[in-house]
Order: sequence, then structure tokens, then C-alpha cells
Amino acid sequence: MAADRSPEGRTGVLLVGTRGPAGPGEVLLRIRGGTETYRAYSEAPLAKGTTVLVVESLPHRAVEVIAWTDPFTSS
Amino acid sequence: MPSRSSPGRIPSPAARRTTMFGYRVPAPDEAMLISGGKSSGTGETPFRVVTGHGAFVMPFFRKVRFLTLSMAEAEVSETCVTKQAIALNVRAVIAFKVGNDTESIVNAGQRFLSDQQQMSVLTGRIFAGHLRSIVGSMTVEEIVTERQKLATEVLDGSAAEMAKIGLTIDSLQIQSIDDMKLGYIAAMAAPHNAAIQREAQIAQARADQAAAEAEQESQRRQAEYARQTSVVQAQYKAEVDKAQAEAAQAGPLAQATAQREVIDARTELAQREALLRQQQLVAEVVKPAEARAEQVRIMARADAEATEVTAAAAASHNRVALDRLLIEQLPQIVKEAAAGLSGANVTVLNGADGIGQVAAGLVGQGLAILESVKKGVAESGPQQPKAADNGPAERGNNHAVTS
Repeated sequence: MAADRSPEGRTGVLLVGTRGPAGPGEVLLRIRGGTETYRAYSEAPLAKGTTVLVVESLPHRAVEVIAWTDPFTSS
Repeated sequence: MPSRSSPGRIPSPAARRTTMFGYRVPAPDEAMLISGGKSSGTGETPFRVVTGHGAFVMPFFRKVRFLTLSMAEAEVSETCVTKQAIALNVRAVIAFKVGNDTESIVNAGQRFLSDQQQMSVLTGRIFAGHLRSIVGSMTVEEIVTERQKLATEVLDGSAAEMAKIGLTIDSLQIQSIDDMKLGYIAAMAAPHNAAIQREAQIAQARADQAAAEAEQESQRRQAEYARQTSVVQAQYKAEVDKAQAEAAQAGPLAQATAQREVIDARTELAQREALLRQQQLVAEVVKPAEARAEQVRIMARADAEATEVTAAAAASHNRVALDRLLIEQLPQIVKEAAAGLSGANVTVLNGADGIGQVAAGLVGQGLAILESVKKGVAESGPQQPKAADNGPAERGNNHAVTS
């Protein structure tokens, strides 16, 4: 079912930079055929516009992200 | 704190289409919640959540409800206090929707399903407190300018709480802030305005200064150019004066030279005239005098010679000289006589002896013969003149004349 799709393993772009322990940012993920925003937490602050990988799905539409560079597109 | 929420526009639930076999299909912006069955699959959800496709619904044993997933908006007008303890009347619009994931649908369904029309009202009421906390963590300047800060505050203060009830905030817009005639916002603008005006004045002053500098520079340049022009003009004037002085000197000099030449010429003329006068005197006086003297001398000599000749002639050959004279005259006479006798059959014999006689006779008879001859000539030519009958002229015809 489309509603059961998990954001884990997906890559996205930060719309609002994460602040590490200070608070979440916002990540735009491609999921369920569209794009949705999730609150994004990361251990280290990540700037707005960073490409991130979702490593864990948290309750209430929150995800754990790490900075990510696509090995196939990056030179 | 007074709170006022106005209900936003909420889409009405789609008409439920009941098929013959109980096959139900939700609209694209709806989630179909089927309750009453034993949960299959994960078994964690209290009811089946179906989105995007249809499902069989067993009548009487299943209950189907539809939850809208479309965006709704809630307008909040709330009096908030900022970080600087300034009371602001803030109007905000929250655009939200039920999350697409199962967790959000379940959470929202359990809260709003029975009264979906009131979802925006409830959300507005819920959000009023969040707005207060959001505004309370920001300054007026941040509210006005820092959109990123606002988004962060929304994430911190309300996104998690809204996510708990299954709602995702698409956007929060502060529509207006009003400091309720406190004048703070105007005052906030004042320093900037003053700075702007000061900058403008400074820029204007600099521009004026630059303009003045440019003008002064231009005047200096003009003065310099004028000075150079004056110098050049003075130089030219000096040269011109010098040339004019030379010319002015040259004038009298030339005049003097010319006058001297004139005087020279006049002197020469006078000399010439003197010479001419002298020559004239020589020609008019001396030469004629000399000529007269010479003439007198010549005449005197001639007279002397004539006298001498006469004397000699008279002395020696008086007769001969006279004869000679006569003889010298004779040819003319004879010629006349011959012309006169040309029409007659008379041949004038002018042999030496004959001539002498005839001439003597002719001379003797001279004029008479001439008269007769002329008469004969005047009468018709062939007639014989009577003068031919007498005189020595009738000696005979066709006598040869020897000379």
C-alpha cells in the first residue's frame, strides 16, 4: 500500500538546515509518487540544500539523516 | 488572551459510490478507512487504510469512512508578545493537510474523522498557542525579515506537535503584524530611514563636493588656458609690434631712399638738362655761328674764286667762257627748237660747225624761232612752217647730221 511506503533509504534535500542536537531541519523526500516534507534530525548540523540520506524513520513524520553524496553522480 | 479563528475552506467529502458487490474506491485526495475487520498484514493499525485504489467492503460487517487528504487552511489572528516583550497583533495563515503516510492518516482519522468540517477551526485553535510561542521566540525584526528563522521556529515549536495529530504544515505565512499604535515598527524603521537619509545627504554632499571640485578645477584650467592665451597673445603682439616698428622704420627709410633716388634722378636730370642746354646752345648758337662763319668763309672763298674765275675769264677766255656758257645752254634751246620743228620736214643739222652757226643764228634769233616753232606746232602738225622757207633750216632734207 502506498501509505505504507517507508522513507528509509531515500535521499532528499534539506529545505531547512538541521541543527544537530539543537533541533530538526526539514527534508524534502520523493515518496509515494510525489514529494513530501519530513522533519529531519542529524547528529551534526547540516546546511540548507545538503543532499541527505534517510537512515532511520522516526515517529510523527520525522527521519534521521546523514549527509550524502551520490557515488554515481559525483565525480 | 482573546483568540479568534475563522473556519477555512474545507472540501466536502466525496460522494460515496456503492457498487453492487460492495467495491469501494476512494477519491485521489481521500483515504478510505475501513473498520470492523480483523486487521490483516501488519495488524498494527486499528482500521484498514486504503489510498489510491479500491477495496471490497463487506456490507454490515464493515464500516467505511473517508478522510480527506486535501489541503486546508486556518487563519489565526492572535495577540502575541515578542522576544522584546512587545505586544503585536499577528495575523497568520496556516496551510496544512493530513499526512500521506499511514501513521498520519490513523492519527488524524482518530481525531478529526467525525468532524472534518471543523478540522481547520480546531487546527486554528491549536495553532494559536503555537503562534504565540513562535512569535515569543523571535524579535519584531526577525518576524519581518527572517523567513528561515520563522520556518525553524515553526519546525521547533509546532511541526512535531502537529505531526502528532497527523497534520503536516505546508506553509505558515505571517500576513500582517500590527504594533497597535505603539509606533515600534515605525521607530524600527526610523534609524534605517535616518541612516538612509544620512547616506543620501552624504552622497549628495560628496556629489556637491565633487561637482565643486570639478568646477574649481575647470575654472583653474580655464584660468591656466587664459594665461597661456595671454602669453601667446603677448608674444604675438610683441612680434607684430616689432614687425610693425620695422615696417614703420622701413617706411621712412624707403621714403628717404626714394627721395634720395628722386634727388639723384633730379640731379641727373638737371645734369642732363644742363648738358642738353649746352648741346642746344651748341646746336642753336655755336653751330649756326660756326656754320655762318663757315658759310661766310665759303661764300667769301667762292666769291673769291668766282671773282678769280671771272677775273681769269675776263682776262683770258672771256669769249670762250661765254661761248661755253652758251654752249651749255644750247642743248636745251636746240631741244626746244627740235621739238618745235618736229612736225616739219626739217632736220636740224647740228654738226660741230653747223651747230655753231645754227646755234649762233638761233640764239641770235632766239625767241623769234621759238615763237615760230611754237606756232607751227600749234597749227596742224603736217603743215610746213613758214619759218622753214627761210633760214638755214632749209638746207635740205635728209642731211646726215654729224656730231
